Amino acid sequence: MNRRQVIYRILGISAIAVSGAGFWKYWNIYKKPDLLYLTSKKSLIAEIAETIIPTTDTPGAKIAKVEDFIIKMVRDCTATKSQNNFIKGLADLETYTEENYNKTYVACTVKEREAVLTHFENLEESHYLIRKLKQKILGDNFFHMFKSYTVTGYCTSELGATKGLSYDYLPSTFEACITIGDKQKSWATK
Amino acid sequence: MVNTFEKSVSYDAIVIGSGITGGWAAKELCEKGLKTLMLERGRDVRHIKDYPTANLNPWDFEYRLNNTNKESTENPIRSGTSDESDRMFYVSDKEHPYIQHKPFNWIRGYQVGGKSLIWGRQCYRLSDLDFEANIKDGVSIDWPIRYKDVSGWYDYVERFIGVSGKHENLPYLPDGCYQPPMELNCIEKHLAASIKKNEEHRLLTIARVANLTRGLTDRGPCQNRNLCTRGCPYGGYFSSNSATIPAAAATGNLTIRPFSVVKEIIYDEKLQKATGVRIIDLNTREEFEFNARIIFVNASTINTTSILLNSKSSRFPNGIGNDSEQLGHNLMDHHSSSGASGTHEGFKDEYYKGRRPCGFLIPRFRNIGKGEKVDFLRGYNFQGRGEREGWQEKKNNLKGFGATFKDQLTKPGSWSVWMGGWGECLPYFDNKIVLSENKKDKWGLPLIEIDFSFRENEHLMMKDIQNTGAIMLEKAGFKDVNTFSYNTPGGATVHEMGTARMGNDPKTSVLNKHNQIHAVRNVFVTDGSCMTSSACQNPSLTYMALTARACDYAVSEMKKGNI
Repeated sequence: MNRRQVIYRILGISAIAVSGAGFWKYWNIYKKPDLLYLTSKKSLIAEIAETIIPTTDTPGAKIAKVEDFIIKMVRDCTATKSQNNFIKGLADLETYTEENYNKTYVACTVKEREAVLTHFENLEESHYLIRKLKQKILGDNFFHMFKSYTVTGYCTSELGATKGLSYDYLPSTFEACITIGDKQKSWATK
Repeated sequence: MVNTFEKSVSYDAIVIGSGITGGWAAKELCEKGLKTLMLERGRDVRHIKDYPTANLNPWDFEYRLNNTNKESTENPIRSGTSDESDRMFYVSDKEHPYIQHKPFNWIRGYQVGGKSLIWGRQCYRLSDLDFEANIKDGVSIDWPIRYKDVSGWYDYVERFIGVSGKHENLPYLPDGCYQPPMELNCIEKHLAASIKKNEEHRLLTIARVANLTRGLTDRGPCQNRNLCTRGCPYGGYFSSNSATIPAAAATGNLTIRPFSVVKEIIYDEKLQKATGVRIIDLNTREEFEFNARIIFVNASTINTTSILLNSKSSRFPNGIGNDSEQLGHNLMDHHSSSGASGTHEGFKDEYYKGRRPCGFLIPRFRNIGKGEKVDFLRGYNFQGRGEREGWQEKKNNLKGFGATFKDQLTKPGSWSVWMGGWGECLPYFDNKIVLSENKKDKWGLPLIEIDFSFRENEHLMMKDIQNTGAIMLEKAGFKDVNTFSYNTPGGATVHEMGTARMGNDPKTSVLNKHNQIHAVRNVFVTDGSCMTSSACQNPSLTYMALTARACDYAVSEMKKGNI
């Protein structure tokens, strides 16, 4: 994207935010979020999280109960605009899966699930400046939020931190430079 | 610890505040035999016993250390610096409002121990480059002291608190009495080597911090958990709670009265000195008066000055000791919101173990009488750290999902270095605090109004910080070098200082060279409010040294019968 295109797109997004034509969009992002819908989709959320961080030789998102954390984060720690984006994104994902695969997300194979998530990840704005601006005016992107909450929920869970990563509860000493092999996991906490 | 309090007892000394300097004043005065009353507006916090989150895991917290919408809305300032693990040591904006003429993040700790529980623990000495700066630049007024007046007190304080650090033999950042230094990791060593090779008059060294690398009696050593702000059950870092208050209590001379909101210092016109302190009980709102021969005001910069401003009498209609009309003016805070960061592709088979509770320091190199000309006065140091990227960074930029994603997510990523410039802020008369004329808090005391902004000199410095930071990283082979300027408001560095400055001339300053109010010789002010200029070093060590020095002077004056 060249500089001129970026400017046009920024102007476009700003126009949505201030114009009457953007009213529908405006209402959609500021309305009271449907949190009942959110909690009713707990098993769907768990399955999406598991697609992002599956069980391998270490536990995955589902067994670490990441869905509980995601719901809590959307409910209590996410601004209204972003809450609405999250809920709408979840509904869009359900519709998209039905339309393209004739079944629910839960019924899809791992390959199909990954294809669905690829579609939603690609919807995310790739240009840094526009992404920042969109975030500011329209709230966080659905898939970006989903992935970020999944990662946080997993990496701060007991299973994720101690099995998926390396958790050093009481380091005692600091070793400034150690040599590591391919199998070394990241530290769970800083 | 002594916690009882008797209304009828008169004291030799009153210390207002229990934070990093109040703790020192209490320790020094008690050890010199003075019956001392320490007043603290918040609750008591006992070492170890009152650190409820200190041993918790991330999954033990309901929101895994994220702030809720409710917390962010009700307490925008507190939520910007704290989370579920240490919120109990930060003041709620909602409960303790203040008026901001321009955005100012006033971060407070209302409890026994004050902000010494949550401080950054960096300990750097000032030098004559700093003490002589105002007079040489023709800015503001001269400091009434020089390095030789405080160097012995720096020694004294460093030995007691325990500072780990490395000697570097720099005249403008004097070495102190240090425990063995913490260690730089490989990327930090790499950057240090590159700076040494490429830059004259610059070096990168490990931070000098009040985290113990060797245990002292009853304290430490640091366990490298990097959870300091929750309170340390190992006594791994210095706080009033872990060190000075227990030392003061051990003398049998200390009385602590929590929940004591100081209303004013009582001035006696005939005796021409202060006779005591009037407080409001935080819970019952009942008023009490306590008397003492000397008073140390250590309530933290802005609160100290507001107590002085509120202490009115016919002799001092504009606040006790305010003959100069400087009280409340010349508020300063370091800026620390600009810098540079980058990633490095090397050192893939190296890592670290443990969570070192500090980063590195690149001491000031601007306007030290060497090197290139710049378009601003004074200087800054860089404080930063190197690490390998983890899930905290990757959650925002790692594409994909599934087994491959998980594998990449859970392996150490590229090395990165973040470094920000901590810069000096000049004293401007109109950066100030005043007491509101009509708005009051729950205890009937006037709300504090803060009017502060950074000016051209600070902004020029921020630009230089970004440029020089980026160049040093690029020369060391870092990729994706970014400069940043978060534009955080004043107060955000939590180094607010000035407003009751020291000076030689009573016409232009509030305190003399002994931190004594010029016209009220039994009142001493030794927290950040006494600062005449800000230098760029983290200031707490200097406040502590000035406190110990002033206590020594006060007691010798009492013995001579002068106060």
